[in-house]
Amino acid sequence: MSILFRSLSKFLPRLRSITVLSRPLSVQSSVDPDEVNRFRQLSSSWWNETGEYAALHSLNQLRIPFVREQLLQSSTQTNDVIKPLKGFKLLDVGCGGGILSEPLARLGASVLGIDAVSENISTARFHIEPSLKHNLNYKDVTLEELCENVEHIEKYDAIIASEVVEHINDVDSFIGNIGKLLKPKGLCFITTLNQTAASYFLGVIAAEYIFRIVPPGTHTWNKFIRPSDLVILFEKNGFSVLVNNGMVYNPITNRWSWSTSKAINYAICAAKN
Amino acid sequence: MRQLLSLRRSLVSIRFSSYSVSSGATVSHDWPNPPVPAENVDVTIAGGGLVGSAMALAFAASPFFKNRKIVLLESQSKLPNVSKNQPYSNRVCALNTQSVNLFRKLGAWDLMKSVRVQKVSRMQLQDEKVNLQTGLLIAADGYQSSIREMAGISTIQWNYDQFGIVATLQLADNTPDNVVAWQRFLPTGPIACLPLSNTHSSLVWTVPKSMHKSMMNLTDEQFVDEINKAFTSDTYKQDVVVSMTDRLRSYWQQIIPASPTISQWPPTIINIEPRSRAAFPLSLLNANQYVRPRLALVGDSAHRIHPMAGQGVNMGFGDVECLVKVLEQAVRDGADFNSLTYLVDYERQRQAQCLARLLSIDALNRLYSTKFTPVVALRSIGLSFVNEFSPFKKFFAKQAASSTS
Repeated sequence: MSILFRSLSKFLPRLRSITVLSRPLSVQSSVDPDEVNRFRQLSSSWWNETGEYAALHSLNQLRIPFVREQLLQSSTQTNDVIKPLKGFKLLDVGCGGGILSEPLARLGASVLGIDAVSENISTARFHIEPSLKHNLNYKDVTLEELCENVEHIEKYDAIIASEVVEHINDVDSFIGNIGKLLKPKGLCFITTLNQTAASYFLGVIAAEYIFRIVPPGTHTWNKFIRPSDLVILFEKNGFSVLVNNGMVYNPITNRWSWSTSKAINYAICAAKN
Repeated sequence: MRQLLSLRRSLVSIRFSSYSVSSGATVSHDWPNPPVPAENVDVTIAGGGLVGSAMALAFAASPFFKNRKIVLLESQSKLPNVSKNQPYSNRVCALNTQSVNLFRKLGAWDLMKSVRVQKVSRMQLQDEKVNLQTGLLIAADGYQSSIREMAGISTIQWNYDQFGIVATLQLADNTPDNVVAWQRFLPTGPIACLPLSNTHSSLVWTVPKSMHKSMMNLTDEQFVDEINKAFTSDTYKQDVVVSMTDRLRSYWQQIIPASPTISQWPPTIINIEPRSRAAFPLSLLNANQYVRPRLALVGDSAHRIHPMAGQGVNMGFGDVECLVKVLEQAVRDGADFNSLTYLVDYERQRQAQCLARLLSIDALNRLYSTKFTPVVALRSIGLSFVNEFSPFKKFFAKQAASSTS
């Protein structure tokens, strides 16, 4: 019986431990090589709005207004109605094929998108339309590599890491690096998945195997992080959390909406002190 | 809406180019190498009728589209001469509250009310073949939309066994304030009379297919006689139904206080405007998809309804309002305004509303097409009840006017 239990125990979901709470993780980079390989295979279907990334495209209806409103609130610039983010410098970490970077650039911001997978960067670059060429750039680097470049230190008004931290090993140093690149009082936006039973059954099993919202194997439940833990990490790294909201996805209509429940997806906006 | 106007293609000062193209214009999707150097535009509206023009006006009035190039394609090369002194056109529409609000917002309402010509600036009328490469194509080309056919969008449609006859009517001199719209449900189909001014009204008469040829072949005097007879004759009433309705009415008036109804006679027609009589076949149509990548259908190309409730063009204006709102939201969110995600939002909202309306008017048409006495009794009693019981009447009037307040 006990042998059976031991062999089965490896299938039990393990709660993700945060560096600040228990054992140290010494990793040089926050990027996992297996994750990188998985995305390499998917880079060609990024811009099909009804394809594998349909949910990320429709998520823009939530996250662009979110970023836009928080940025405009914290600034005193007068804005024009078509390009309200003119003058803002933004960094999109884990930009993938550029689904989030392009709308931000279209709203007038000067955007740099970075991703560890060079195929994603090529896809994103290929997709840039001529009118965006002067304020949208992509770089095939990781966040850590960017931090080593002195030009980018304290350069950005806001850094967005949307649907990214659930693929990262060391979230603590990730946030630390974000803090290095942000101007004082700059904003950090994170959207990710919670680590709950609901997110396991709905966010992983149902999403990947039943509704096929994302390809199977996209997410590893062990890497999901609870909002409370993420808030602790933010505060440890010198941020104050401004907004902490739940989001819910309707797979039938392919539409997202804000929710009081953070059981599956949530979004946080934090400001550097 | 007490005063109904004749709305023709009165174009106001708009920052767009209008091209006149031959009716043999083709739409092709040549990518990435078009055969002939093409002009790049952001939005092309195919069809310069009521809905297409309203669409162009809505874009012109929107601050989110002020830097975009919008093109309106229309096959008639002459701009219509809009003036108060010209005779009324025989194609008239009744605008509901929502449509009026739309035009008020677009700044066109004052012009429409005064029916005066305003100088159109920056218009190019060209009679040549033009090759356009567009970001978004909006099809406003009517119920036989060639764009919809070319896109291979399937439709639900059926023909009514009816034709609609329109004409502009001259009223007798002793008609009081002509502000009431009349509709009478004959067994052959509804006949409606919409006021244009104190001396003129517009006719929309639905007749069975078998009758329309003979109606069109009548002389003007005979036709006018037929209209007057249709409005006043009692031969259509079934005695049984009349007595039943009267009896029931006397019962419920003892329980429910009847709201005072103003009784008025329908206007007497003395003449019709020369050459204003026309007939066209009626059908119901709903496109199964209102959008495709880079394509949106608005107006009759997406849905066609029986004219009896005056809803057709109002639904088209509703499409215009919804599509512009959705596209403005797309621009506010930094999306490429061709983004299918936003076009689908438009489709979902409009399909639900339009299909519901199409089918309920269709049901009403069927209800009034029968001579079967029990049904006639039920509907007569129902109609009298609604007419006298004011909360019901207000509800239906509000639905017809589509007012959102």
